[in-house]
Amino acid sequence: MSTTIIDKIKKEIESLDITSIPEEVGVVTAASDGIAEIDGLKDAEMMEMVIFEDTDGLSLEEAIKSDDTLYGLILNLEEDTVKVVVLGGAARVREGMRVRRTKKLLSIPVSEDIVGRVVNPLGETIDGKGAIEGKADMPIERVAYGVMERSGVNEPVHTGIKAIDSMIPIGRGQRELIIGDRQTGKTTIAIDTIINQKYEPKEKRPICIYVAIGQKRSKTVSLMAKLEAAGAMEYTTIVATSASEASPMLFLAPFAGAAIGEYFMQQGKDVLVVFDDLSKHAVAYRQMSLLLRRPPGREAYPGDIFYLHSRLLERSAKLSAELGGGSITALPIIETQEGDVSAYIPTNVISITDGQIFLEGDLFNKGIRPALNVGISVSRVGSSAQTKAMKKVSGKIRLELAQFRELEAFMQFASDLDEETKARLDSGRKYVELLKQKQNDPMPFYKQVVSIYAANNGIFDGTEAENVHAIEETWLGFIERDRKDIFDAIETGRELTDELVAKLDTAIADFKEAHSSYYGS
Amino acid sequence: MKEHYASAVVELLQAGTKPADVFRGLDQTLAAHSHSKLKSAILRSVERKMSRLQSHAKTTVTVVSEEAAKKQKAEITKALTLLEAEPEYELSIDEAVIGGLLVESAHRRLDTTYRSALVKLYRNITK
Repeated sequence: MSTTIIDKIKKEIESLDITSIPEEVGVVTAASDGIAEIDGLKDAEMMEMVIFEDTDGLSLEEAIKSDDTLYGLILNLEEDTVKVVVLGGAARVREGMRVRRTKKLLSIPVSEDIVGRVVNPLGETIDGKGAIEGKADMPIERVAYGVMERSGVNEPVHTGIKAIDSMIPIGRGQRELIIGDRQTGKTTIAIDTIINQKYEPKEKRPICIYVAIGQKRSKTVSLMAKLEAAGAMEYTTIVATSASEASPMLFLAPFAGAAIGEYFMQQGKDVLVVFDDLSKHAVAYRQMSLLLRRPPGREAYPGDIFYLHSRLLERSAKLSAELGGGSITALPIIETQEGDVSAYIPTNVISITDGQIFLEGDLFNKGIRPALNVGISVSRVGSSAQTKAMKKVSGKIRLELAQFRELEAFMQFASDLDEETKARLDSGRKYVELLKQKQNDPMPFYKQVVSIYAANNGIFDGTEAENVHAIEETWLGFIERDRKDIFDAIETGRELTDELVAKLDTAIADFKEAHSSYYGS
Repeated sequence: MKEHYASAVVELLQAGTKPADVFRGLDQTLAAHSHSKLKSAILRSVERKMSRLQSHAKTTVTVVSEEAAKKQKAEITKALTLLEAEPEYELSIDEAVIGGLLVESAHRRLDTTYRSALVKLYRNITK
């Protein structure tokens, strides 16, 4: 046996606690569908962890062969009994089994080592890279910070998606909902946002947490591979619960993500948490509540379904300077059916969040990807969360697109259009093309600023909408190669000074002269 | 429904009402409410509740052998005091505990068995 293993065993023996403290125990009187009814435990608390003594009566050898400790979570305190959801193999629970209190509310062990790892909602690693030594036990359920403990949202979270960063800007500490039908690119927006954080300076880079709620394992694995390939796993934690897991684990997953985020927020760091998706979370909570015999309400959801999401999302905040100035930015995802945003769960979450990004299947099928409906998407934080540079260039793009949308509808009925209308339509089409972006190819904000500035100042004049992407790519390559100081200045200064504006105007003129083939001459 | 009937029967029996009177009253109540079909389920539930109450009322001490029980008399007394249990107890011999003792009374237990300590150690090491 190697020295390391011997040392580990010695350390465990020395620290083993076998003090004789009486424990409160109960007895399982009924168990089915992952819910156990327990007699006794009269002093038990809500959300307290309990341990099922499934090794009672077994020999040492049999007890060691059995699986890990089986935990339960108390969710119903009734007159004579408590109801417990089993967190793990519910088939191991038997009538007559002893259950003991841990006197600890559900918490997750967190430390810096959790970054870059894949864990389950109990904090157990599932990526095969060994256990994590937790520094702090963060409570799964926690009251959100009060009003006086917060400060205003004024720092941007750059998603790397031009349409979002220019017109629906997200700030650190905001909750921005991503909502749309299946296969419209919701997860892609979240993943691109995570990948884009690699362009942030290391000291300001948010720690990212992706919470997969009831996702297919294959999808989670492919997401992890994408993040690894992009170098984003260095600063990302994945909390994964697959579709085949019991509903209590799906219920706990987003709260575990929030708890991990709070650990870093309390250290003054910024955190980005993606909840993918809360529709599945609501369904899992409904299933659990029905099994706990809680009275069903609208669409069979329990009466506190709104509170479920409101208390989760309220934990996202921008803390005051006195508390370290850390933040949690939340990107909850909701899946709609047939574009129905007036359904129960979508309307609940829309009313909780600070804005929403609507993705439409029609736009997706037309090739407009990301399929954002900019007209009805909104960020209630707005330009407070934009850099000065982006603020300067984004005003025109919003106006152009709004006018284009109106004229586009009108165009279907008009037979003969005047020159001005044609020009506006042409300009609108070019902006729509400009806002299209490849999957998993986020653009750093300084490149976005340069690209949109050029669009606002005629770089696409005299060319067709089909050439927009080629021109943009060439233009950005031109700046990268020959005028890199412009990128550097915007990246560090975050604003468009008069000097930079003059340089950009000169660069546009030089570019057009050097690439006349794009302009039909 | 049956649980309510069962709880009522158990409470009456515990209060000292004669069993014959309790079960005659049960029959009449069930007949009056057309719930006679529930009788067998109610009686099974009463049996389970009564056996649970009886097991809660007694104190059990589990050790590895008779000799161990004699050697650990002082520890057993200390454990019973800690659990605020009656000094009378039922002794159970279980070789699987390896050593130490397990005392259970009402809904409280004190587990200082070697088996539990070794299982805990094993799980900590192999986490």
